[in-house]
Amino acid sequence: MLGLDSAGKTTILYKLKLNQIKTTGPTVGFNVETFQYKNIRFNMWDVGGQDRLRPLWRHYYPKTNALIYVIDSCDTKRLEESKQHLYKILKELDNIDTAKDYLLLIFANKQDLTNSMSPKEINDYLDLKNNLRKNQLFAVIGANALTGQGLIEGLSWISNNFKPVQ
Amino acid sequence: MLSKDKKSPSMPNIRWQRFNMNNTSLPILPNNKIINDNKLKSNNQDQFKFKDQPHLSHLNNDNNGDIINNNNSSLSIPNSISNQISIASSLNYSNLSVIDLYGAQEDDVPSEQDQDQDQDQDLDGDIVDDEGYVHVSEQLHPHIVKKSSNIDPSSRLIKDHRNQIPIINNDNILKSDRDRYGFKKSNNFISESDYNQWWISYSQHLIRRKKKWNTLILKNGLSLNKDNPKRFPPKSEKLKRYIRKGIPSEWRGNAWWYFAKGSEVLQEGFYDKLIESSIDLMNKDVEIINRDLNRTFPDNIYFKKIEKDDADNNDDDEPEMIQQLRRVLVAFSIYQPSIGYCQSMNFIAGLLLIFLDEERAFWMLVIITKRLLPGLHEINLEGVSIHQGVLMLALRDYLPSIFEKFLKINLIDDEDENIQSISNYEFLNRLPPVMLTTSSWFMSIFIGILPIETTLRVWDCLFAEDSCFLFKTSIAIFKLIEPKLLMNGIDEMEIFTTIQNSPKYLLDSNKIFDLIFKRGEFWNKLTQDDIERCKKFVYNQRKQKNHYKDNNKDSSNLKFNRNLLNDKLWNEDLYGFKKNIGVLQWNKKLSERMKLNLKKNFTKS
Repeated sequence: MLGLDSAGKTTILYKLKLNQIKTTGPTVGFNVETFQYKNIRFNMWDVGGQDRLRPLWRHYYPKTNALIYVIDSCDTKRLEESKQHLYKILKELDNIDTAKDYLLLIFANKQDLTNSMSPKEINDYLDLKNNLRKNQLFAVIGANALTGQGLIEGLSWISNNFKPVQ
Repeated sequence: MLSKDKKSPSMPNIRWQRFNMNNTSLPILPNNKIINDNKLKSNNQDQFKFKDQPHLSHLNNDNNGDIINNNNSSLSIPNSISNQISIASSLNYSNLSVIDLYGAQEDDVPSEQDQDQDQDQDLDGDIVDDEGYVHVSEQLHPHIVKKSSNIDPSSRLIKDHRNQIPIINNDNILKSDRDRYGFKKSNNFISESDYNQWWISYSQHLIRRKKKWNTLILKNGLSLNKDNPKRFPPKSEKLKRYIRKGIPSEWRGNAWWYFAKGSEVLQEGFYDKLIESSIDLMNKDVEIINRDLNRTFPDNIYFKKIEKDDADNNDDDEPEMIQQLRRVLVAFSIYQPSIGYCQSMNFIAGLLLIFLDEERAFWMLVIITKRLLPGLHEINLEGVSIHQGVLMLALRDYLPSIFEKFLKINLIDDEDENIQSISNYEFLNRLPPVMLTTSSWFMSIFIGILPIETTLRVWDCLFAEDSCFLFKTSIAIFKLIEPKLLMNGIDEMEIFTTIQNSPKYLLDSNKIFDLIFKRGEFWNKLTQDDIERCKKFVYNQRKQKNHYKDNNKDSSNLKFNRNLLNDKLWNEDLYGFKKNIGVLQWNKKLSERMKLNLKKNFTKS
């Protein structure tokens, strides 16, 4: 799970794991949790978002089956930065053999706030359709980490589209 | 948290000016006096039973003065004594005042009998709740700031910052949902009843230790300075032992400052100048700092956003502590551009601010980032890798089976046997993924990793014994969880979650400290020199592998590398530390003069 700092990654992680709103600070390093949804065990890595913390983890892209990218739908000022960041990550993943076949799920988070951009607007802005390689599955789902709205839909999407290796 | 971010996507107006308590109309006294708790017994105890959420009480009251009066009067303190309660010390711009119910009387060491009596009272719950001061101080803020909007920042040189930590009062702690530092007692790992159970026995330890510290201070001919000593005994085995058993929290600010040699670093007025120059500053660092302010200890009573229904002015919603935190971090980012702002520094500065005034907190941050943990927060974080590398070396020597296990975890799955090969030190070049978990141990200096009381004990030793102590702590943590990590059939994810979560249960700081200093374990022999040697070794290994070229494309390489290694290589002049070289220079001049004189004499003759 990646995204800019203060997009809500850690909040999403603990909402999914504990069904609790943990007041979180900036993540230094990362958080990792495992949980079961339907018949799939999710090992979810939540990585510190600040750009300069990237050296800590960028050599360690785990065997990624799904990349969850979290966007703060309200922070229109940083939407471009977030988009660039996403494409940078996708490019890095392209160079890693073990991470060839992954699902891309985008959470348009903080939908509860007024003047947040809708998932569709975000989808249009990211323009993934025209920029991803062929056959890359992706979804943009509106989410509200505080209520959990959208999170389960996201996991369902992953579990429905996930093809186990072998 | 999320909504907060939204509320203030841009930077709120910043009050850069610091305030001067002299401008307030509140009762002011130069120092906090210690009040004998007997005299504070209230007739209205029910009314002052600890409130679960004293911080919310401000919602009911807008008139600050009234609240203070209410508190004083209903505490039934005789006038003469209430005058001695420092609501706000004139020398103290901290946002909290301490009404000391349980401290030593003046400079006297409390007799054993006194103490026992006090404890009984505490446990009976028959003592006046001193938690009111939190409530008072919270009320103080908007008031103080409003009254002192145009002050000369230099008029505020604080030399007598009274610590904000309330004296141990079991009754209050047990009834509150918060600890002495304003943090929530419970979290996902520790329940409130766990906390209380631990606190009942640990507070006895604290009381015992405090008594011993009192004696130690007095025996060394130093002043207790009304339970706020500023000078501490010179280094000795005894002092070391005392520090390892914990510095009294009420003294921590001063003690850290003293043991970390803060006064050597402090340049008078410099911090104020930095603040002045940071007015209206807007850059990437400031942006990130602003985003992180409300995410720093959002649960802590001092950092918690004040929620007002009728907020007519947004500025007033910002707790003083957050404003201080902003100033410290922004000032630091200007002072030390090679570091700027790195997440985790917000936690370090935040914790410092609970114990120290703003200016000293700033200089302590300088000491931590430059002297104690050099390179760790530098822009490309290579210092983190070096520290992690040293930790790997230490694990290899002290806990070899864990070390081997870690080498086998390879998330990347690229069949890179090199990483598993011990002989060529490839593991230093490409650190095992497990080290992802431990990077925050160092970057945040265990804040949020260990429970707060344990973290503070680690900090005590960090300032007195240098960074080798962080390695000792890390190894002891691994030793504690070794059985679990080495269990048959444990999968990779479990290893990660174990390392991530286990430290959070270590509420009983004595347990981990006993292990750190356990006789016969080699790691407690680890010295700072060993660590420095290891750092250099890791640095060279990584350098050989061209790691830096790879990692760090910008041209500031050279400068950066110098910052990675410790004080010995570090040009003290640059960072404003007092130079030892001064003596040498003088000698040089002297010798030159001598030579000249000799020459003259020679030519004369």
